[in-house]
Amino acid sequence: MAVATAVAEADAILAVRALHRHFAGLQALDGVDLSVRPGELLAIIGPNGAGKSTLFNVVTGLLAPSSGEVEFDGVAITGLPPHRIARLGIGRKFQVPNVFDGLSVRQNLVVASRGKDGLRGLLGRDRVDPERIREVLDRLGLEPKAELPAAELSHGERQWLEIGAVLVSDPKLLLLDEPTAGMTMRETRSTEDLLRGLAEGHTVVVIEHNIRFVREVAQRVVVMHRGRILADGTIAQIERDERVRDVYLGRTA
Amino acid sequence: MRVRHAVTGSTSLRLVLGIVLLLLAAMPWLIDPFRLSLLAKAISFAMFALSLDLLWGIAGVFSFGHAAFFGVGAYALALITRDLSFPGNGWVGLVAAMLLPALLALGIGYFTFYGQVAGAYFAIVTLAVSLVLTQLATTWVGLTGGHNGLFPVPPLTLGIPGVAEFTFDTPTRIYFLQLTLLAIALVVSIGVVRSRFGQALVAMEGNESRARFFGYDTSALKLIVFTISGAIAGLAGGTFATIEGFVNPAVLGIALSTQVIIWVILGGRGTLVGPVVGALLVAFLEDYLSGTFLRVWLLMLGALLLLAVLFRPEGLLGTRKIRRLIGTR
Repeated sequence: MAVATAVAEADAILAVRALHRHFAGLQALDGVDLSVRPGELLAIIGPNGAGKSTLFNVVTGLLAPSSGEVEFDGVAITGLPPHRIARLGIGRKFQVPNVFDGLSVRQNLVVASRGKDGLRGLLGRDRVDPERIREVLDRLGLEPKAELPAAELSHGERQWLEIGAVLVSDPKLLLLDEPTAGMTMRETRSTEDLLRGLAEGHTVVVIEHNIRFVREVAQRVVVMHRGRILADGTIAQIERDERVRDVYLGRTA
Repeated sequence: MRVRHAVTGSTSLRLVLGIVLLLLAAMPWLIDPFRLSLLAKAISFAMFALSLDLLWGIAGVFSFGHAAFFGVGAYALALITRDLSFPGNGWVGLVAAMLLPALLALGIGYFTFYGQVAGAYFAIVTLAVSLVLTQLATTWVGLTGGHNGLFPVPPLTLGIPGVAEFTFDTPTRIYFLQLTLLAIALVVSIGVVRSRFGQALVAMEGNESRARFFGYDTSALKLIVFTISGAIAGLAGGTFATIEGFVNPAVLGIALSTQVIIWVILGGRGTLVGPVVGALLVAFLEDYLSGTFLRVWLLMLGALLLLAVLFRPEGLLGTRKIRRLIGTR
């Protein structure tokens, strides 16, 4: 088992080691170890307050860890500011749709794809590839609405637009925080398809409450509880796990 | 339908713009020299309002002590043109009036933006800077003349130094200089907003954390726009000093910092042209009301501002059409 972990970590795209983060007495992350292999589609589940979003916040540089380290693609990123981590190739989708309402759908994608180029992309030559923008619009099914202000999209479409905006610069690792939150059944289905499409050629970590959705898309499931990793395995293994059932039934593990 | 609407919209806009330009050009023959010099001075305030709008309206960074930059520009130009009478001192004065406030903004911005000081905390920092500079201008009598200020600040002399110099010493000349500078400041600001850099500012204003996670160094974006804003505010202050012929610590102070916020809100935050119109309108109302209603004009002005904010919170020119024109929609 220990050997297997070591092998897994050697080729991991994201390696999180002994990560702690506390807020005024609360242990939001209490020693998290996690490695994500390239090309994997991993779902993180767990009750509210389990530390899922805090983990994303530490990995993406919004929060500094109290201790522990994060390594991405062989580079230590612990404590780097968010924009540096984003430029290294970690894309993040927030829980509530975060799009630029003032800009059109197409402009949203253009502005998103310029982020990684830094000031050179703003003041020097424009490095945006219009072909890539078209490709993403097409994949999202938002081509017909490309010139509309993002504010005029439905909730589900805004979620997709943000996924597309994260996708447009082709990050090596995608972190999605509850991409189906607030979606209708039909929208959730389309999101499943979108995610399966994404999974080819991308590494995706998704936080999700919707177990049906997790069953549909995830190859590997990690359960978090009280700032720790409680279980890690396939969905079948997780669903058989007594401790996981206890947590979800409200009994303390 | 959408396309045709946009075209007719821009035609009528062009018509309005043409009439406004014609009216502005004819001003010296329409109003008396005293009013013309009031208008010229109001144009300095308009540039000042423009500078705050670029920072606050476009980039979402609120400065509550913006007069600091206006005032440093005013003192810089006054000291250079009053005390150093070499050929070309007008140009040096204008450049210094932009450069010094820009450097001040760069310094403050570096420590605040990279120290993750934002929102109300940033506003308080700018307020503190403005108060400190007011105090400094009051006590450093040797440099600034203290409460009495600096005077006379001579009219600007520009042109080619020693070859073809030109002094702006009549209301008409000053007015046209002001109009030219305002036009340049507006064109530069609109150019900034319509550029890729400006689009990133608009995105940042809409959702800063989203922009950061796309890879934007929002601290750097803020630092650049703050520096540009400081330079324009300084130019406004410098031109004000030469028109007024006099500078005292009030040009750095809280009253002016508050007034400029009112002009921006009244005209329409984030529209660039709105705050320019807002500043000119308030100047006109002040002149008109104070002449007609000697006692209650300040109350009337306050009531008007209150009504405007209540019934048109997006500002007089806060329309979609204007936003589309400058490129933020």
